[in-house]
Amino acid sequence: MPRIVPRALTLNCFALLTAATLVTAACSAHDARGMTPNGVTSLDSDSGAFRVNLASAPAAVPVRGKNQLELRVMRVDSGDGAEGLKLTMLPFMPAMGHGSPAVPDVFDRGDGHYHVDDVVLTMPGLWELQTTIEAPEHDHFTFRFEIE
Amino acid sequence: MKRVTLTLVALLLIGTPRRALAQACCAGASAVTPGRLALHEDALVGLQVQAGTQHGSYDSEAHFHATPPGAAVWDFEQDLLASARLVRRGQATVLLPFLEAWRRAPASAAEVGYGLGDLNLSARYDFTWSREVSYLPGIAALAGITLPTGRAPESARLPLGSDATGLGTVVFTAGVALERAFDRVLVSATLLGAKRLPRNVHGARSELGSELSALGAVSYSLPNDASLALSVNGRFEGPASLDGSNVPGTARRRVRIALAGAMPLSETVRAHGSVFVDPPLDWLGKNESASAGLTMAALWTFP
Repeated sequence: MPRIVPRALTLNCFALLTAATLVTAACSAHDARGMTPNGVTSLDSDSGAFRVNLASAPAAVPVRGKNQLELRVMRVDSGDGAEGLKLTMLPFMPAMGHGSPAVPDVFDRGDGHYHVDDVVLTMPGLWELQTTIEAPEHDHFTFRFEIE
Repeated sequence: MKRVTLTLVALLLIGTPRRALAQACCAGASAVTPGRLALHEDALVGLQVQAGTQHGSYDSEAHFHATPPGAAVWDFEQDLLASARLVRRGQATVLLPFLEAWRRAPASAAEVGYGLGDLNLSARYDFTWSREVSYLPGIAALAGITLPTGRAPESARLPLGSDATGLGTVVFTAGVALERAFDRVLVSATLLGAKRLPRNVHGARSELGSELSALGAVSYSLPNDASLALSVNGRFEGPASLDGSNVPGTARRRVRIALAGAMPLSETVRAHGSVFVDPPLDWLGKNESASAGLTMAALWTFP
């Protein structure tokens, strides 16, 4: 059975993470290869129009097994939360060439907050969370995590 | 990933050592390659079982990480295999695996999955046998194909993918095997390349990099035709691609060390066993799991 994390705890975790991210002012999380470095929890979308912060449960970063994520998506130009986006997320293990048995569910919580359920990372190794903004604009961002 | 190892095993399972030329060659080779037909054998059937556990993994920077507390993976496999001599120097093998896995992760409950694995067909042709030509080693060509009869990772129904039993694509393999007997010692080397066809993963075209496996082994034959062997297998794979573009940091490698033994139980039955480990050392692996385990096999041969 999936571990149920109290919503208040998740949001508190997210708030702390957001504050820390803003302090460090991570403008772009892409490395020289254009890839998101492993373990980064704040990045800009491919177009640069959105900044995304990620918080995870049950651990601070995704772990092997089932995870729940909180995404905070903000418009870079205004700093406002980006509401009403249609997001899809696909966990993918590029070195192994396979994805996850589960397709995560994304829920819009309003004001740029998105809850992602059922993020299942089945084995150790480098995983990508390939996320597409499908509407009303089209954009893309990818978090990368090394799972032990 | 496991299916390519399976292909290598299957390809090594077959061969045609020449009893009249080198008894030590046959006994030594069978320790590393349990299913190899001796020259007087026309066919065999066998059952091989394997049990292993993951003790860690190598990350994309080639650093080893022990399995964290609360996580565990146990893999079990039973292979039904059959070999037949098709021509004097050539033979073919079919290998049908059945897999079970028990997995547990800190964020998920323990689970058990099982299912049919990927069917493997392979062939071997010996151009020369060891000691047949004084100045040449035994030289054999290897070829194989693995079919996606198992369940691909995306098609698994359990959260940790324990019931994923296949790669999800066709794998072609080709290679060469060399061996040379020196009295009771047999030295062998196998090089094998693998090409996996691209496949669709959630709408993306995913293709694993080309793979090269190199196996070196030294076997020693005892007077009773039993044998012991030490082998080292290195597996190297180029970067994977997604929608036609290489993905940086996805090249893989792994080194596996095995100690194997073989013993004849009768004129037509022989037993094999081995223990193997992927050493928990940095740089020996990259983007791979690290396992340790054992195998046992029983083979019935038909002269």
